[in-house]
This record gives sequence, structure tokens and C-alpha cells, in this order.
Amino acid sequence: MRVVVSLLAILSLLATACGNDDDSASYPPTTESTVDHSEDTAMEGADDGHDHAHDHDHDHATLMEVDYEPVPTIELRTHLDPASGVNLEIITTGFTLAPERASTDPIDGEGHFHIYVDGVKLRRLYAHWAHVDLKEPGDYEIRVELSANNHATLAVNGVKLDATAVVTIPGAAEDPEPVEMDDSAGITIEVEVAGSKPVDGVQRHRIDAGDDVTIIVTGDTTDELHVHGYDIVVPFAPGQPGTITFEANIPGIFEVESHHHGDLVMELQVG
Amino acid sequence: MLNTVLAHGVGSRGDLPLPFYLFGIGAAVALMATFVSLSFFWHRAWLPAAASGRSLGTAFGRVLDVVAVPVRLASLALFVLALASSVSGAAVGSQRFGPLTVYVALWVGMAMVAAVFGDVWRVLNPFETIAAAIEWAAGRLGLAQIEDTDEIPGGYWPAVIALGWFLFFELCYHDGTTNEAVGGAMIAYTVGMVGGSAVFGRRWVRQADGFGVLFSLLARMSPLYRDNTGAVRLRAPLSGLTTLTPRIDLLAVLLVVLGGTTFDSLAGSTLWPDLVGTHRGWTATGINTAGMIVVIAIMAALYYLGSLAVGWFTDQSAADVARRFAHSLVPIALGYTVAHYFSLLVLDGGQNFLRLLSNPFDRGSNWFGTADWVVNFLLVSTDAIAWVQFSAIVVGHIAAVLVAHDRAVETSDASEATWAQRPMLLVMVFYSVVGLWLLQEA
Repeated sequence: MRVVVSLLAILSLLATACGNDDDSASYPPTTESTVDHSEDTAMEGADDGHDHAHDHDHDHATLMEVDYEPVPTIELRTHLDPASGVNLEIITTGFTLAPERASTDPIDGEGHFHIYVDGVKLRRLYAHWAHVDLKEPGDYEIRVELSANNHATLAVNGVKLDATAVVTIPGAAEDPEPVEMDDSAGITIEVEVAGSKPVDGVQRHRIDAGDDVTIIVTGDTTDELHVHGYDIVVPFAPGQPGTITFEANIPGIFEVESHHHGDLVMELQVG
Repeated sequence: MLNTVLAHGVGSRGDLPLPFYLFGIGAAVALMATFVSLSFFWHRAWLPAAASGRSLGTAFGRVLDVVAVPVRLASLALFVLALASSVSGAAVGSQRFGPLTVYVALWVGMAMVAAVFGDVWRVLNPFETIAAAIEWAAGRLGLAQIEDTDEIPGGYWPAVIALGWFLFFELCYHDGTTNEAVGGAMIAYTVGMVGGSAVFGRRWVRQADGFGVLFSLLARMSPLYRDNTGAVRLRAPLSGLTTLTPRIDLLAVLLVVLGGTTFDSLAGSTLWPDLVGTHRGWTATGINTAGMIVVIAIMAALYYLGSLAVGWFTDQSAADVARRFAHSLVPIALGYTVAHYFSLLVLDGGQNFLRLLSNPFDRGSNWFGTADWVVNFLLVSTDAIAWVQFSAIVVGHIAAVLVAHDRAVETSDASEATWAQRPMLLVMVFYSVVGLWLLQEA
């Protein structure tokens, strides 16, 4: 098997030549977070001054009294992102994220998060980590609500179950010191598939090696996403979004395709 | 990065875009600096004289002759194994042994082996082994023998067609990495090789086997070769290129491979979907085929224009110039192959090939103890891959400039040769900058 022997010889040569620098795989530095502007004050009173009439998709004026035990809790921690904006860490107890049952009947202890920045709804969230891009320097009030599957905000005695934190985005001149990065930064990629093709076209998502990636896929057919290289499969069906979180530990460019139809849905560029 | 087509059956990972945007300029400057300094320091063609090299002794050659027999049989066994695996439809996870053998071990692995260790494909070539076996059997049965000729009609054009067909399969055909496709293609190729040698004699394989012709071209870069007496000789790297017969059909082999690899790079870049949109099925096959033909045509047209201009300076016909300098394209072809397929060879492609070698039929076998391997994607860092890609392109073109200069000073003095070669330098600069640019847009 001379081909094999030769291939082995080449492999070993290359391994000697370039394989020794294990730590040259460019992972971001992993240090403990020292910047923590966390405040876990629950909002006093249901009226936060936000005009809910602007929300077309859900009626957030609806509160849903928690009449079960244990009562869910929420805590919000913020970590300034060294590149831009802030990374949110949402810690809950008695609460399970159920994106697969979003917009269906509520189930005790289940639901998702809604994120508000300065009282304006930013988006829905199915993960415990999220990145919020805040470009202009200044103070921002970030609030995260616990929502039931039917998007009603969970509340106890009329008081919303939410958590608020104030984040200060430093100006370029004011804060020249580098901000240390959090241990496990994450990115959430939401993709919508119609007839096995991505609604917004094939996009490439850039991810730092070592980050956690959450992919949420919604679609009008029963299919599964296949992440090449990582060999991860995410099933989804109409009304049942698929979701997966994994650590992006293989650098390179990877295609994500719909398994049954073979259409390219997106690309992940790791590293 | 690999084309969408190839990504499904063989490679699962594409290379990151080259991170250094200024290095296209760096490459151009390096090429021009090489070019200018050659005119000062390289006044005499010395590669042809270095091409014979010195003998490592006939004993070495005799040992190789003995070793060649089991190696030849092992190679034939590997070929049969790959074919049988594809025909059986076996897949280990998403990986298939037949496609890995053809697209990774043969196409990428053998190309690099040939450039370093010489023309070992002559020993490994299973088609030659099969043709020889049939010839031997025919002799035993008293059937008519075919006279082995020096050259069959059609020259190396059958090899050009064979390579074009292979590249179509690898880079254009939307289903080219399935077991069915690869198994069918292997059978068709074998029929073509063995059938041709039944008509034209075994010389047919030497001229029609596209892999063999390409590998023997790459092998002329190698410092090792065997002379007519069978002795192994050591020569200056690249010097063997000067022994290449200047032929238009061999030039075509090189341009088809250069164009095919460049198209692979383009099709894997973000530019391609912007240009043609995303397609699948036969639409994708049609668009890819048209794209590959256009890219090959552009590469060939540039080379021809360069030849035309050099011919104008030196009073030669463009065809003469094109033939005389065809050998300078060999290091570029190797550089492109390394740049585009190095990571495939050392990461998932090569590792999966060795892994499935132990278990090609997915029946839980572990013949060589590699079946349990898990692909180590971190064996080589992305930084190392990027440097290999960049170096392969730049060094390949510098070698091309050097080889071309050496040939130019055979017939004119150094400054005249440099003057006349400028159009060809522009072509080289263009090739390298485009090659790097496509890798930056990966």
C-alpha cells in the first residue's frame, strides 16, 4: 500500500512541521469576567411606561399570574463585549426555554424571554445568552421578561417577573483599557426556511472559535438542518422550530444545508 | 475552499479566507524582484546540465525493482477495494471509501508524492497492471500480440480529455461524490484504459491516463528519477522540467488542471454565488461546467497572449513560445494543488481515508487499527494552513519564473531574455494575484 505509506509519510512530515503548535489555534482568551454591571432589581410595578401598542406580533399588555410552584425567578448579568455592545447572561430557576412550543398554549414553568432596551422591545430570545449590539456610548437600561409560550408576561400579584440592568457603553476616548472577555461568549443565529431554502438568502455567519453557537431554525416543511464538519443535525417542522447549541471548536468554513432537499441554507465561518 | 459539490461526500470543511490582504501585492513584488535579480545573477542556462544528476547506484534501482512487485499488487488491491466499496454502496457515517480514495488519496496525495518522490505512479498505476496482466494472459493463450509503439496517434489529447472528464466529475457534476457516481466512473475509466490498450498496446495507458500524464509532469520537479538503465539518480529540484518535450498537448494538460483548480477556488468563494446565484441538480451542473470551461479558457488565453507578446519580441511564433515555456506551468499547477487541497489531505479527507481503509465496507472491520480514529481537525492550525496556501502559490510562481528564465537564456543573453520575458512575467503575476485573491474571498 505505497499510497498509504506515502500519505502517512507526508502526514507525519506535516505533523512535525506544523502540528506541534497546538495553542496556535486562535481561540479567544478565556479569562474570568471582571466587568459585571449586574443589577437584579425586579421592576416595581407593572407599568414601565412602555407603549405596548407598537407591538404588532404579541400583546405584551397581557400578564399571566403564576399560580404554580416553584415560582420562576430571573437574574440578569451583563458582560461588556470587547468588540461591541454587551453580552447578556440570563439565569433562571423554575423556568424552561421551550422554543418548540412558542406561540402555543402556556405550560407551567415554560416559555422564553423578551428583551427590551430602554423600554423598547428588541427581540424574543430562546437562549440564556444573547448579544445586544449597542454602538453609541452611553447608559442603556436592559430589561428581560419571562414570557409564557403564549407571550403573556409572567407576573406575581401583578408584578412582572423580569430583571433589569443598566449598561454603560464606554466612549472610545474615555475607556482605552481593554475589557476582558467573558468565559463563554455566545452567538444566536436565527434562520427561517421556506420550502427548504433560506428566506433571507444564503448568509455566512462569522463566529469566533470556541464560542457557543445557538442555531434556531423555523420552517414551513418537516426537514432537518445538517451542519457539516460538526455533523450536527437539527430537526424542525412547521410550528416546531429546531434549536441546538454547540461549541464552535473546529475552525474553518462549514456549510449548513437542509438534509432532505440538499439546499444550502447558510455557512458558518469559525475562527 | 471546496466546491459545494465536493463538500457533500468527501470534504466537510472549507479553509478560512486568507487573512493577509496585502500579500497579493507582496506576491507580485516578490515575483518581480525574482525576475529582475535573475537578469543580474543568472546568465547561463544551467538547469539542463543539472538534469542528469548523479547516480545513487544501480543496487538501489534493483532493490526498487524487487519492491515494486508487491507494491504494484498492493496498489491494484487498493483500487479493487475502492471500487468494491463504491459498488457495495458502503458508507461510514457520511464518509465513503471510494470517493475518498479517488478525490483525496489519488488526486491530491499522489500529486504531492509525485512532485517529491518522482514518478511512482508508473509502478502504482492499476490500469497498467491490468493491461499487462491481460497482455500476459493473451500471450499464454496464443492470441495475437499487439505491437507496442513509441507513440499512439492522438498524442496526449486522450489524457486531456480524461482529465477534463475527471474535473467535470469532481467540480461540476452535482452528484459527483456518491458511491454510484464514483463506482461507475471508475468502471468506465478502467474500460477506457484497458480497452484502449487492447487496440493500441500498453503505450495507450501512458498517453491516455490523465492522472499518469499529470503525475509524470509533476514528477519532473522531483529530485529523484530513474534513468534508462534503471539506476536511481539525484538531480537538482526543478531541473527535470527541462527534459520535458515541448508539446502543445502537454501544455493543454497543464492548462486544464490550472483552470480546473482555479475554478474550484472560484466556485468555493463568496464571489461565485453572487455571480450566478445558488442552484442545485442539473442546473448547478450546467452552470458549473460552463464556469469551468470559461475559467480554463481565460487561463489559456492569458498564457497564449503572453506567448504571443514574447514571440513578437523574439521573432518566434506564439505556438513555439507556448510550447517552449509550457514546463514552467508545472510548479504553478503543484502550487495550486497544495494551496487548495493541503487542508483536505491532512485534515478530514486524508484522515477519513486512513480511517475507512480499515473498514471500507462498514462491517465493523478494523484491518489496520485506524477504524476508531476520530478526525482531528486541529492537527494543523488555521494559521499554518494559511501560510502553506500563501507559500504554495508564491513559491510555485517564483519557481515558474526561474524555470522560464533558465530556458530564455539558452538562446539569448540574460538582459535580452529578461526584456523579452516581461509579458510572461505579467501573466505569472496575474495568475498568482488571482489565485491569492480567490483564497482571500474563500
